Amino acid sequence: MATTERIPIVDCDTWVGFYPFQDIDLTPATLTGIMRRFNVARAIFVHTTAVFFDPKVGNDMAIMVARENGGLLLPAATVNPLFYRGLAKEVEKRKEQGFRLFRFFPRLQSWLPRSAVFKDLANFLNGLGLPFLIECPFSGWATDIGQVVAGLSVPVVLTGTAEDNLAEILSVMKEITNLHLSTQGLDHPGALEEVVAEVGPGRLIFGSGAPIHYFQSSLMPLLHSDLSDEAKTLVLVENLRRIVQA
Amino acid sequence: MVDAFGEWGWQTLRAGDESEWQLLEKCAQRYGVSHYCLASAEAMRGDLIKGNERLAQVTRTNSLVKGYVVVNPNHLDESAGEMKKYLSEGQFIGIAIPPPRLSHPLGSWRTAEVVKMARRYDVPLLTFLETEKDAEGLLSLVRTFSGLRALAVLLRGCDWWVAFRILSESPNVATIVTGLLTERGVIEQGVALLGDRRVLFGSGMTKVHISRALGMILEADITDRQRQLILEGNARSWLSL
Repeated sequence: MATTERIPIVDCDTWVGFYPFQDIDLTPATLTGIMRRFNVARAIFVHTTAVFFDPKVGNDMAIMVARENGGLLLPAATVNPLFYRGLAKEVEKRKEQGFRLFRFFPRLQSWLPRSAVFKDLANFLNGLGLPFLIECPFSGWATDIGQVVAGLSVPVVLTGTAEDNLAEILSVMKEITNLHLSTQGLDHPGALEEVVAEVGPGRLIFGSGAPIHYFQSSLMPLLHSDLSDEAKTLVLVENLRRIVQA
Repeated sequence: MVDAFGEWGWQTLRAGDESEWQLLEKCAQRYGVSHYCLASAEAMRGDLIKGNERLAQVTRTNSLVKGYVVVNPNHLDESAGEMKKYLSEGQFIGIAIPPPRLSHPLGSWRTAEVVKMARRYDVPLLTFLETEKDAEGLLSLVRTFSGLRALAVLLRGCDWWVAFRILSESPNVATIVTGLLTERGVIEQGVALLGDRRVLFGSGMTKVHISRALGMILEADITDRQRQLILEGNARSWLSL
């Protein structure tokens, strides 16, 4: 643990913008303050405007935030499959601008991962070599996502999971080897150890949900888990770095 | 450190390598927990009688564990019997009403009937808030039954800022912050709106790992004195430990 407490962390799940559901400060200054305090070298973030209102506007705002923070914050682009028109163009534009991955929010935007539009999008992203993250909080969704991404070669990361659907997620992950899992929803005792025992340490990625959630509520369970220092380093740094740099 | 809320029974469900007791004992040593105050997960979700009995077996043999006796507003007679059976034992320190979605809203007739019976025992009532409406129900209960003291565990989905505003109107309610709700600001706002004597630490063990709630409290923007109150002093006072 002593070794991993000093390594520079890479976080796959952070937020910037205005949070409409509670009075929580998601300014870039707050996020970077948390990053400095807990030795986070890089954070992948989405802009709330892109998630909750207009992806095009929000993705533009994410670029500005990233520029103002000199490489500390890496933006993830998002599109909303409910808005069919211009999806492919938006994806291509963001790829040209240098976005290295996408995020999807079916729960927050009220659509289903088995939707035909999302399947088309996933195939399109795969053709462009763009990995993506997708929320998977409900029973049945991991199976649907597995079917969508089964033939793809890009890495896909499940976020926002819960103990209730971990058994299903692990079953799907054993079949679909490009599926990865964020640590954020793994909150029960032994969860991290269980995932590593089932699918190995190379497919677990640290995500905090900060600043919406307390950063330490995700970091401490990982640092205090029974995983080896090598496994913790993979989860905290190397796995996400490999995905982003691929 | 005193853990004001956890549930007994989750680890057994998972059939993990470590037993429920081994896990609690390991964490107690690692984090310096002097008492776990637990309610039976089985009594809240399944068999009221068997669940309370299984927890009682643990509290009788391990001084580390204190119990909340679970009541069920759908079974008023049995609930009365369970309170009588366990609240004479020093190892049981409170009464737990299951979350509203598992039983009844806090403002319902059935819940009020249980609270009427619970008053004579002079122990705090452990409640769960799933929405801010539940905070209104709890406030109504403590206003109706004078002298009633209540602890409120906020669950995911609850608008905690509104809940704190509502609960701030009665000095007889405290909140327990746990790893079940990790939104940033919940601790600071709890302290700001309820005062630093009315926020307690609850691990949520063994449903969630103790380090989740502990990490929140260590990160929160509060004074060291307030942190100490949350981690120990407030629980000792509210639970008479």
